[in-house]
Amino acid sequence: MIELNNVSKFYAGKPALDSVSLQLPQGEIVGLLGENGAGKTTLMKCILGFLPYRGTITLDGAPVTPANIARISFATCEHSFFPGLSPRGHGEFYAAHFPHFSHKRFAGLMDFFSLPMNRPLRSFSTGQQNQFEVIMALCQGADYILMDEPFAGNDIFNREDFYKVLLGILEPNETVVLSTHLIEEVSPFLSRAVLLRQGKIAGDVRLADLEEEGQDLISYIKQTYRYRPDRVSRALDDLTGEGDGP
Amino acid sequence: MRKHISVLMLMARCTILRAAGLLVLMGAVQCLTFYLALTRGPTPQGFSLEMVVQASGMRWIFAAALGLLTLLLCATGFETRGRQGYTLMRLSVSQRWVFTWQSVYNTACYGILWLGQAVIAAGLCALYVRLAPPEYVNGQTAVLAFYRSDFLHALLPFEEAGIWVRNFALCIGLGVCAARCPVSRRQGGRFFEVIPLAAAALLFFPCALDNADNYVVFILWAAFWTAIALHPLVRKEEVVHDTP
Repeated sequence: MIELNNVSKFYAGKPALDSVSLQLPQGEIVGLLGENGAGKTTLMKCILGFLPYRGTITLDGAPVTPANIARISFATCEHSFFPGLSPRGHGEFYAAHFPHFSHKRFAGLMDFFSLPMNRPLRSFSTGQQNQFEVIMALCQGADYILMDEPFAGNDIFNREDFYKVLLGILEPNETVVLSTHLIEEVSPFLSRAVLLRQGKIAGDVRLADLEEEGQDLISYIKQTYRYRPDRVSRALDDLTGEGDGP
Repeated sequence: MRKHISVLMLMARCTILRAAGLLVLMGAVQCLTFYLALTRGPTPQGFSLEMVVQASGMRWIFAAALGLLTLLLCATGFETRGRQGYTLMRLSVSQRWVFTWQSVYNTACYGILWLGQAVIAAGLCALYVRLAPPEYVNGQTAVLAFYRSDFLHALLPFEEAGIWVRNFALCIGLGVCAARCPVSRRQGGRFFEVIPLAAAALLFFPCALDNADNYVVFILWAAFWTAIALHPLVRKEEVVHDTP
């Protein structure tokens, strides 16, 4: 289990994460949801140890260090692969460093997305690069797969393919933490949604519980964020002056 | 050991083709300019091998190749496209080892450039001996040129140990400073160490016979910038980039 206790992170004195406490057990597909700047990416980077933070983050009770970091993989829209290296080169490199690297899964996913094995990544389209980024995260044999807006730039058909493949290949012990704005798309296969707002946990809910209550994820999020449906029309009225009384 | 070799191989795979292409391009351009200078024939100033070498601009073509190689090596892991640091920080080998292997690889690249340039220069000297008018050639022509030409002497200084040491110090210094560049970038620090050393190499690489000032200053300069590049890594293991 990944456990965060009172994790805070400040950028130039401003809180990006404010006393976040969270437990991520194995075997879940968790949606990390929130507006831009809510702290989703920062939270993931803190878990991975890429950023210094206050508080504690443990993986099965131990701090995240080079000794156990291989149990957490990361796919980011910023791309963490080497542009001059081919997918085959990446496969060999990752296999040397991640003892549970799955060659079978790697070959299968590369084949499914029809990605060339021997061309340098820099020659791939953005969509293909996104696919490759996620493939590498899924093939490392990690127990926790963190994905930060992995499908930014991919078309809807491509994304749907990926969701199906993801659901099909995940082992029961694998946890996916998916940060995304595509809430409606991912809600059918999330088991849990964690809502971040201004660096704080604004909501944490199991989708099965929501279903029992007859509520969907979007309405839960709107309710949690106190979203005002008339917000846009009021703003438009203000802008156009139509709302002004005589 | 496999993990360490894989890091070294990663560096090589990312740049080896371009570095080899650069060496070939440098050789091709030097052959062309040397041949043109050679076929232009004797001038009123003479037609010695050193003069042809100088007229061919071999020194400046080498300087350009050295500059381009430095750019190429600094760009490996520099994160101009993507965040390779996220992968490197998750490896089972430490960041120090990544830096060490990158330094070793870079040093080897500079060494190969030096060696390649020496071989190309020797080949062009042999070409001169074959094609130049007989009155300009004797059995010692090529060997003497490596004493008389500052550039050729710097490439192959024979028994002048100081220049050998200088060249090795330069290769190591440039290799370490070029490896420091992407590490500093990933950690959000400054990455200028390679510039003064590369600039010195570009401008002052040629070295005349018995010019101790050149190689002593060069060795100290290389040692100074190598120490600057190594200092943060000796001082502390890692500082992660603290930006959103």
